[in-house]
Amino acid sequence: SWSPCGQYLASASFDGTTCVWKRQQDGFEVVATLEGHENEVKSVAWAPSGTLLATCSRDKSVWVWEVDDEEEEFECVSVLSAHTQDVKHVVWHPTLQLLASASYDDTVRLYREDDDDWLCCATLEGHTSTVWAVAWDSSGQRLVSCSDDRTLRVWQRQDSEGQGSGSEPSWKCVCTLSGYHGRSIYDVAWCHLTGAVATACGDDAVRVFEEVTPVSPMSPVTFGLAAHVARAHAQDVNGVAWHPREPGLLATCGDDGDIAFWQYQRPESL
Amino acid sequence: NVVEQVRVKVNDAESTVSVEFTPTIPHCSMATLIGLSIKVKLLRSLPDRFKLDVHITPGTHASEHAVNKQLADKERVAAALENSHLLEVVNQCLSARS
Repeated sequence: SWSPCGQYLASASFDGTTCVWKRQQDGFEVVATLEGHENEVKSVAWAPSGTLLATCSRDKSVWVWEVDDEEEEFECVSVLSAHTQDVKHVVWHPTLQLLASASYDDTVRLYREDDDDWLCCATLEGHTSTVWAVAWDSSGQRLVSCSDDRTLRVWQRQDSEGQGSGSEPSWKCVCTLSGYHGRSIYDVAWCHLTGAVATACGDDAVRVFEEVTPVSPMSPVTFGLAAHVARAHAQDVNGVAWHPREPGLLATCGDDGDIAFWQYQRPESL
Repeated sequence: NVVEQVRVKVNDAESTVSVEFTPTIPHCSMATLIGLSIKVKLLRSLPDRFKLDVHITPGTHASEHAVNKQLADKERVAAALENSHLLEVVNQCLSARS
């Protein structure tokens, strides 16, 4: 995960550590090694504020680390053990200090800071198998999760009006996309420029979905399949990411050892 | 003799292989190890294009859902095989001849 300033890169490893690399003139150098997880670290995410890092592991926990001003000292400020199984992925909300995690226990959990500690403020249930990844939309009002159950689920933040002040916002699954993916969906990315959702699937394909403009505010949320490359890779596609500034530019990676770059254009028929 | 039968389905055109095995004892604690050994043997023997599915014959094991889920999770399998002790046990399972 890149730091927001672009000078640092954090990497998570099966050896149980997370390394933080600093950009040098001729490459990168390790400036910190974060230890503590009991086994493989599956994912690391740098918060948009630049002051927090999150890691997660097969040890079922999510750790939140604070970065000091010098940016080279990291302190663990919370160990969150809300999940009951391996945690596969962590990702920060685009603007708030809100963290999402995806797990082998089939749920997505959200965490926020409360006083000086962190707590799990929501559990999103609905998937029937491991959730491999989650992605936030640009507004932070929605997130999308992808699963071994071969579906995508879109969750929307519900207003907490009528529940009294100080109550947690709740999240509702407003759309489930099934029947499109042939095998486990390993990654999902939500483009903050265009709103397009891309997926990486174990059936070797890359797909892009776009929201179908609702007829009225009361219509259900629907997404349509906008693009499908059946053999994007020679094996499972494991990762997908949209370029943050160039609309339509997509990167994917797979078990075949390749990284592929794609140019996507929204079809006029949609 | 820990496995009664193994049912194999191959679809070459779709590049899929499915192996179903029946532990002899419904609570057999070796089920995960057996399944993992089968999976490793397939991984080492078949071309990369094949999608592998190794699972317990439905209704024949008390924890079949949990075992099947582990075997289907390629990240878990990869991590398990990085454990040198477990890898050695798997290799021993695969090298034994009846």
